[in-house]
Formats: sequence, C-alpha cells, structure tokens
Amino acid sequence: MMKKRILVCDDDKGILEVMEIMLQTKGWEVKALSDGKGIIKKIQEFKPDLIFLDIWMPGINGKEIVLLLKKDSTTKNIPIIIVSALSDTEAIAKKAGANGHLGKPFEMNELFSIVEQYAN
Amino acid sequence: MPALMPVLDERLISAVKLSPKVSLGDDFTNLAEALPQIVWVISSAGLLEYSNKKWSEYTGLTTNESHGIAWTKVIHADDVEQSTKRWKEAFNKKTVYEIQYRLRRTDGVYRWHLTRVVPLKNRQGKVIKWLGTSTDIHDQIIESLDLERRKNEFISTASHELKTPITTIKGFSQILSEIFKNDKQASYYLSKMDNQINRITVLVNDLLDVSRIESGKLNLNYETFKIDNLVEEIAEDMQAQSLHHKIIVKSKTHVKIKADYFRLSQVMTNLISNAIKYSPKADKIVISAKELKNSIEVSIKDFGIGISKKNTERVFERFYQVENKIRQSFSGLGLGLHISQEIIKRHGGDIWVESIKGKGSIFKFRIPKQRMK
Repeated sequence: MMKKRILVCDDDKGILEVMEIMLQTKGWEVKALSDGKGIIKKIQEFKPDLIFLDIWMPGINGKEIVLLLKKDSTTKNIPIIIVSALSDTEAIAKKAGANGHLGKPFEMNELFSIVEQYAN
Repeated sequence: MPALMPVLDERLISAVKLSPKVSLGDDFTNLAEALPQIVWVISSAGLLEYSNKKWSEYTGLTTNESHGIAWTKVIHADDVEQSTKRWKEAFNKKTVYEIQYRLRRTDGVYRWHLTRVVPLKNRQGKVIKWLGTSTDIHDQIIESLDLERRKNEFISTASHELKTPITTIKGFSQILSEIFKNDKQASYYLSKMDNQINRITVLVNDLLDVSRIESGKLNLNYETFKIDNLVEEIAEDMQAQSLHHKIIVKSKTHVKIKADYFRLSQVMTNLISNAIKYSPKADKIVISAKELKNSIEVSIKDFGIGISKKNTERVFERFYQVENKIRQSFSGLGLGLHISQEIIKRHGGDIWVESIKGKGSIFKFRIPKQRMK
C-alpha cells in the first residue's frame, strides 16, 4: 500500500514540528512548510494526499492559497484542512472553500481521524 | 437641555415671554456667561427662561430661536425618546435629571453632552426653577469607545497568540504519552498535564468569546439536528470527566431544531461543569429536555450549594462569581454563564436559574425550534 503523503503548512515552527512528529508516528510521509512562498509549485511537486493549512500565514493568506489550489486542475482534488486558533474555524474553513477544519489546540486522535477520513 | 418639556402645549409656548420677568440676579448671570458650559434655567412650569451665551455660540440659535420647544431640534433624533422619558420622570418626581445625549453644533456636527438639571425648591419643597448645565464630553466618550475597541482587539489577539504555544505544549505532551504509554506513572502525570492544558484552553477560549461578544462578532452557524443527540453527546463527554457525579439524562424530545450545534454544546458543557463544580458533596446531575409549542427547553439540575435569590440575576453578569468569599475553592474567570446567556440570546431564546440556597440549582434555557428571522 502506498504511504499517505501529507503536507503541513504553518508559520509556527513548534506546531509544524508537533504535527510532523505526530503524523510520522503513523508512518505517513510528511512535508512541512513554514511559509507560503512558492507553495503551489511545492504542492505540485510533492503531490500530497492531504494538506493541513494554517489560515494566518505571512506573505499569503490561507484563503488565497485555497482559492489558487482549487482553481488549478492539478491540485483542485487535494483535500484541504484549515487549521486555526480562531474559535470559528469551521465557518472560516467553509467560507474559504476548504474541505475540513481543525481547531488549535487539537487532540492527536482528532488529527489522525481527519487524515483517515480525507487522505485516500 | 431636557427634551420636550412635559407640560408644554402650543398655547403655553406662544404665551411665554422670555427673560424680562425672570430675576436671576447679576451674580448668577455673570457666572453663567463666564462658564465654558451651556447653562440654562427652566421655570417651574417646565418652560425655558434663560440660556447663556455658550448655548448660542454652540448651537447657533439665539435665545429667542431656542424658545419653547424650538431648541429640541438640536438633539440627535436617536436620543430624543430616551431623554424625554427620563426628563418626564425627573420632572414629576422633582429629582435631579442626568443624561448623556448628542447636541448639534452650529456646523451640523453632533457632539456628546452630559446634561444635569437640578430642581431649586422653596422652603415648602415646591420647585421654583430648574437649573441646568450641558457639558461637552464628546472627546472622553470617543476615547472610551476607542479604548474599549482596542481592549477587545487586544484580548482577541492575545488569546489567539496564547493558543499557539498551548497547541505545541499539548502536542508534545501527547507525543510523550504515546512514547510512555506502557509506563503507568508517566502516563498518569502526563494525563494530569493534559487536563491542565485543557483548562487553560477553556479559559483562553472564554476570553476570546467575550471579546467577540463585546465587539458584536459572535456569529452563529445554523444547522438542523436532534436536540437529544446534542444532550447525550455532551452528557457522555462530561461523564468521562467526572468521577463523583452520575450524569442522568431524564427525558427526551425527539425534536429536530435549527441552531448552532457547536455553540449550544458550549452552553451545555458550561452548565454541566458548573453543576459539577458547585455541588462537590452531591453525586448526581439531572438533565432533561422538553418540547414546547415553538421552542424546546433544556434544564440542568444539581444538588449543590445553590444561589441566594438576590444573586440569581447577577450570575449571568460578566466576571461574576457566586459568593466571592469562597472564590478560592471555586476557580474560574466568571465568564461561562455570561457567554452562555449571550449564545442563547443570539438564538432568540432565554436562560435563567431557579435555585434554593443550600439545596441546589436548576439552570434552564429555551430556544426557538426554528431560526429567528
């Protein structure tokens, strides 16, 4: 069976490390990005099965990234999960056109079940 | 000036003659003309007798033009009703009248003023005149509104920023739990740590919600669901966290409602955790739900310390905590019920408490089954 490929994008290096370690304990392949620079190209190269995306990124807004990815024929089918510390993450994710949401702080099992649900 | 004198009618207004008969004394008028505030005098019948130069300078109206009820046109339309109501009360009760409203300046700009009117009484207690002042407090009002806005922005940013390290700490504690899952002692310590992290998370979320409430940004996301599902889910979650109390779901409604699931879960969680917190010697909490004509009613009953009658209204105030004397033993910011009340209000519902001190409390809320337009 192919390893699940997961891309995590968050400007906080601590959170990035936590998510990377957690996801790797499941044997999944993880790519961590700490900013939105060249994100579209990196996604096209890495071809992830799922993207965890922080809504507040320096340089580029999470919503803009979702818009760009959903427009591009090579990336539009990749599920995107918005990760945010705002209390209405669910509404933000819906508005941005993302597939799901994860509120900070989160339980490890919550993270795993999202991967199981979306990354096929 | 107070809006619309209650005893005025058109005949009286036209019959009134200004100043000549009014003897205010040189000292009074000299002082009134020297003051930076608007000063004026109203007769016992409620008619304007005198206004100082500052009034004319500010409004651009001469004393004659302000005569009768003509001057009321400079009060902001949104403030007229409230100021009239309050003035009528003060006039009838012969008490001091104090209000803040906006007055139009000669250039058309409205500025906030603090108006105070004091009854001048004779020895028999009869009102002879009303002495009034209006002080420009516009800059202070704007500054305090700006301060409030900046405070809310700060709380919102601070809570958001606090969540980032909390997420990392929680994450690493969970990774450690996984590594030490076979070590009983380490797992126990780590679970204690996780509980405390969850506690901080609740506090930070509460602060974030309060700042949203204050700035009018607490939005609801409506969806259709069975209220029984929500009640059962929260009861189960809370049962997992409580060792001493049995959480009993007594009745069901089988009704679908249109509401914000997440926010109502928050209300339920808050009410049940309060019930647990304030009934340390009891062993059960009873939850029931019932269907009314257009709404559903959910109640959470505990058998704890209860709330005295005078405090049953105050428990919903921001930062309020029952009996501050025992604050030490009941920690928290005192925000949960305030947030819950706001969530229920936004749904077009109502929340209240019935309580007997020493016996326990029942918190109840009602919300419409359908979304309010």
